Amino acid sequence: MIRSRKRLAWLLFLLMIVFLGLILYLSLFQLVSAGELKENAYNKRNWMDETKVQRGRFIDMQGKVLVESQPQSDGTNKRVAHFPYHYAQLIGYNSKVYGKSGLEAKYNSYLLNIQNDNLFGKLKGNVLKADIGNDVHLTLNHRLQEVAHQALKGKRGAVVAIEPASGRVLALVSQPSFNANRIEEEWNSIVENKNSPLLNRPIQGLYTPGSVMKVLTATALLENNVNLDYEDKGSAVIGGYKVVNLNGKAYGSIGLQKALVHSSNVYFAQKAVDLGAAAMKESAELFYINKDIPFELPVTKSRVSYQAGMGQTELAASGYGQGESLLTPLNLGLAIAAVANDGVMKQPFIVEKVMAPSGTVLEQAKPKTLSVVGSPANMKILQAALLATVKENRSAASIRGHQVAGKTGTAQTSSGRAHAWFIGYAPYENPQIAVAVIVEEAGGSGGKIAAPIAGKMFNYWLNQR
Amino acid sequence: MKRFYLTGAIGLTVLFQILSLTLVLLFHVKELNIPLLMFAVLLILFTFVSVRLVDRLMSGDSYLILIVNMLFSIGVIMIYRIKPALGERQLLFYAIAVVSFFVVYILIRQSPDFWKDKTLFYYLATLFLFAITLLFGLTHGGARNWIELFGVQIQPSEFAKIPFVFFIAAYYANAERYSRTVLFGRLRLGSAVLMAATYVLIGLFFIQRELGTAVVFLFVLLAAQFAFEKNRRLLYGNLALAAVGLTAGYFLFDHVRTRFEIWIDPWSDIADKGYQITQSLFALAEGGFFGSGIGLGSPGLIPLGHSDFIFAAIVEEMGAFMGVCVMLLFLILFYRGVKISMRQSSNFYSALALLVSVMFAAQGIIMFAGVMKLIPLTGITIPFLTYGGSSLLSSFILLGALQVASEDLRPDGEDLRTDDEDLWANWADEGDWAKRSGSGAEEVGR
Amino acid sequence: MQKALETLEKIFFSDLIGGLDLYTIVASVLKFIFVIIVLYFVVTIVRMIYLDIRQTVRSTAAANTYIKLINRRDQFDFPVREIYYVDDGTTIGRGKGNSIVVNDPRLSKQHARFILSEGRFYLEDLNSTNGTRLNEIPVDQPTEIRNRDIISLGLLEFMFINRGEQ
Repeated sequence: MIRSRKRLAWLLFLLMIVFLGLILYLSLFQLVSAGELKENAYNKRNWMDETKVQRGRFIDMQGKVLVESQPQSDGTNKRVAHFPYHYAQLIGYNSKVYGKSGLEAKYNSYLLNIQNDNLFGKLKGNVLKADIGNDVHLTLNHRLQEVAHQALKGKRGAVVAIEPASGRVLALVSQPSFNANRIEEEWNSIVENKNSPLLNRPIQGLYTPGSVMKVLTATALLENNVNLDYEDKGSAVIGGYKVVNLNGKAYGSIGLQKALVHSSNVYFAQKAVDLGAAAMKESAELFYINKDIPFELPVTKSRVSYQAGMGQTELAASGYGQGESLLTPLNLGLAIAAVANDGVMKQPFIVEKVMAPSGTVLEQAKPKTLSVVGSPANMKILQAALLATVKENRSAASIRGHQVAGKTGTAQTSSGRAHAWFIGYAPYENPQIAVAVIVEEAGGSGGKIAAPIAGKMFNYWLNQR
Repeated sequence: MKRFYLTGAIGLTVLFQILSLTLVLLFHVKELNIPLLMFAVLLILFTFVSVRLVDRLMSGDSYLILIVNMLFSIGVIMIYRIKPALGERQLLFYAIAVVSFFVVYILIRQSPDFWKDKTLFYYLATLFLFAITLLFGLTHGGARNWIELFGVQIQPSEFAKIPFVFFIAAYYANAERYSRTVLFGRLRLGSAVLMAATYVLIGLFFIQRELGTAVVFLFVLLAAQFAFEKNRRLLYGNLALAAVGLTAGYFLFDHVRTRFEIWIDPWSDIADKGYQITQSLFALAEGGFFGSGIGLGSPGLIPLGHSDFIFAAIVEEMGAFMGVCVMLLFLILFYRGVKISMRQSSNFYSALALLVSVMFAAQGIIMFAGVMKLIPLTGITIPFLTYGGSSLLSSFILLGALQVASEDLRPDGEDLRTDDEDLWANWADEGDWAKRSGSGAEEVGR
Repeated sequence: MQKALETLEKIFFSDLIGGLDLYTIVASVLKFIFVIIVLYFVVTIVRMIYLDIRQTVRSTAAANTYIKLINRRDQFDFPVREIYYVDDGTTIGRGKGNSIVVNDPRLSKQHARFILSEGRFYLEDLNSTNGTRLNEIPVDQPTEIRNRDIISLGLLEFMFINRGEQ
C-alpha cells in the first residue's frame, strides 16, 4: 500500500472542485432557469394556489359567463367551461395533468390574482385561503361565436370575425373541436385524432388563400398606379407556365372590377408580374404577411416568398393566391377589415379588459393601428369592386336589408380537394363586421360552402342581434 | 480558543434544533403529543451529550460528530415537516444510531488490530448481505430491496456498505502480503484480483437494479486505487472499464437506458417517467435562495421528498443557501476524513478513514447532482439526511469506525512506502498536509 | 393538553391582517435565521480548522527543535510518534492535558517539561515516579539540554535535536 500525502491531497482537491461545481450550478440554476420553471404549466404549485383561490372567469362582451370556477363541497374549486366545445382552443383547457393552454395559460396570473414579483405579494398569495381571482372580459360575442360554431359543425375549418374600425375580434372559431371539460379523460383520443382538434386554426392554421388573395393583389395594383386594363383571353403563358381561368373562360377587355367579379386568374397573374416582386412584397408586408401579428395568443406567421429575382411563375401564382403562398385566417380577416376600414389596419385583440372582483379595471385594451395598407380613394374603388363581386355573383353571403362586399376563393391543394374561402364585410356603407371563413378540403367552391357561413354571420350580426 | 469555538458550534446546533423543532411541531400542532415532545428533547439532549462525550472521552476528531449532528437535524426537520409519522420514527432511529456509534467505537477501539486482516470475511459478509436480499427480498417501490426481520424492515444493501469499505481497506493494508500469496498455479492475489472481486459485487448490485449502490461502490474502488495503488495502470484500466461498462449497460439494460433518456428529456414523458425529476426541479426553483419558509412551501408534491429527494425539499422550504450549506457540511466532513487518513499511522485505519469519507461524499454528490438534473438520477440515500433506519444506522456505524481512525493507533503493515517525508510528525494538534516541506526529519541521520 | 394545543393553534393559525397568520410571519422570519445559523456553524468549523492549520504552520516555523524517538516503535504496545516538536513550556506525560501525550504506563501523568530561557532549552522533571534521565544522568533540577542529547523517560528514549545550535 502506498502512503502518499500528495495523492490524498489531489483527491481532496478533486472533490472540492466537484462540490464547488455543484454549489455554483445550484446558484446558477436559481438565477437562470428557476423563473421559467416556477411558471411552468405542469408545476402543481400553481395548482395548489388554485384550489385555494377561486380562479377568475371568462366573460363575453355581453357579460355572458363562458368559463368559471365552481366551489366544491371539499373546499376546492372546479373549473367549468359552460360551452366546452366553443372555446376549447381559444380559452383552452385547465388540467392538473396536462397543464393549461390558450388564454387560461396566458392570463393565469390575473386569473389567480398572483403577483410573483415581490416577496410579500407571493407570501400573501400562498396564504390567502379563499381569495377570488380576476375576471377576463373578452371582445367576443358568444351568440355570434355560436352561429359560426354551428355553421362549421362537422367540417374542418376556421372563422374569424373582426370589428373593422377597432380590431376587436368578435368571433374566433376552430373546428373540429373537443370538450375542454373532459381533457383528462379524452386526452389520448384528442392527441391522436388526425384532424388535430387541438390546433387553433384561425391563428395557427396556414392555408393556401386562392382567389381571396386577389383582394390583396388588387390593393397593391391600386397603390402602385398600375395600368388596370387587360385583354383576358382565358389563358396566358407567363414565365413558361400556362395560367388559366376557371373552366378556361375568356372575359375579353376587363378592368379591375370585372377581374374581381369574374375572379380572373390570368388578370392578376399578369398584373402581379407587371408590378414586380419588390412592390408586391412591400404591399404584402403592410398586410403583415411575413411579419408577426401582435395578438394575445401566438399567431403563426403568414408566408409568401417574394425574393428579388424570383421566377415569374411564382410571382404570377402569388398574384392569384396559388403557389407557395400560405396565410392564416386571422391574417385574411385583418386584410378585409383593413379594406373595409378605408385602408387602416387595426391591431386585433380579444381581451377587452381584466377586472378585479371589486370592479377595479386592472388592464384595459385600446385599439391600435398596425399599418395603412392603402389610400382611402383607392380603397373606395376596391370596396365598390367587392360590392359588385357579391352582387353580380348573387353570392350566398348577401343578406336582407344590408349590402355585403366580399370575395370568394377556391384554393387548389396538393390533396386535390380545394379549400373553400370567403372574406367580406357588411354593411357596405358603414362596415361593422368583417369575416374570413375557410372550410378545409371542402369538396366545393368558396361560393357554395364558405359564403353561406359568412352570410349567416352577417345576418345574425346586422338583423337579429 | 478552539474550545470556545467548539462550544459555539454546539450552541449553534442546539439553537437551530430548538427553533426549527418548535416551528415544525407548531406546523403540525394537531399531531403534537407527549412522546413526540420527548423525542424532540431527546434529539437536543443526544446532540449535546454525544458531542461532549466525544470531546471528553476520545482523543480523536471532535468535528465529525458535530457536523453529522447538524446534517441530521436539517434532515429530520424536513422529514417531520413532510410526514410527521416518519419524522417521529427517524428520531427513534437516531437514538439507536448514536448508541451504535459509541458501541462500534468501543468495539473497534478495544482491539484495533483484530479488524485489520479479515479481508475475506468482509468480502463474504458483503456477498452474504447481497444474497439474503436476493433470496428473501421484498420489492418496495421499484428497485428498493428490503427484507423483513422480526417485523422490522431492513435494507441490507445499506449495511453492505460497511463490510465493503472494510474489505477494500483491509485489502490495501495487507496488499504487500497478498501480492506474495499464490492462489492457484501462477495466479497471484494482487490488485487485479481485488478489482475482479469488487466488480462481481458491483455487477450483482447492477443486476439487482441497485444502480446507485453499484456506482457508489465503483467510486470507492476508484478512490482506493487512486490513493493507495502501487500500479497506476490498474487505475487507468479501471476507469476505462467503468466507461465501457456504463456504455454496455446503456445498450444491454432497458432500465439504464430509460434513466439516460429521462435525464436528457424529462419533459416529454412528464406524467410518468419524467415525473419525479421534474417535480424535483419545480421544488428547487420554487425555493429560490432563501426558501419559502418551513411549512409554507409544497415539498409534499415531490415524490420521495423525505428520502431520495430530500435535498429538493430542503431547498424548497429552507432555500438554495441552505442547500449550499448542506453541501459545504459534506465537504468539510470529507476534508476531515482525508485529514484523518493522512495523520493515521496505521495503514488499515488510514485507508478505512479515506474510504468511509469517500463513501459519504459519493452518496451526497450523486444525489445532489441527481436531483438538480446535472447527472442521470439513481435513487440512493444521502447519509445522515434521508429518511430510513438502515441508512442512518449504517452511516453512524461507519462514522464510529472513522472516529476510531482519527485517534493515534500503532502503525502496521510490513513495508511502508511513502513518497513524501515525515508522514508521522506531530502536526501540532491537528497537522496540515499542505504546509510542510523540508522540515527536520531527514537531518536526524547526519 | 388538548386545550393548550387548541389555544396554540388559534394563536398561530388565525388571520391577522390580509390573510396573514402569525405562523406565516414567524416561519418567514425564521427562514433567514436558519440560513444564518447554519452558515455561521459552517464558518465556525472552518475557523476551528483554520486555527489548527495556523498552529501547525507556526510550529513548522518553530520546527527547529524536536525530539526524535530512537527506540523501535513496534516494541511498544501503545502508540508513539517518531518525532515531537518542542517549544517553551512543552510538557510530556500520560495525562490528556500535556502537549505530548504518550500512553506509556511507566510515565507519570505529568512527567517532564521543556523550558526555553534566553535561547537555551532546559529539561525539568515534574516529580515523576520513575524519573527522567538526560544522557543517563537523572534530572533532579532544570538542566540545560543541547543538540543530540538523549532523554530517557520510562523505556522511551528520545534524541533532542536543536537545529539552531548546529
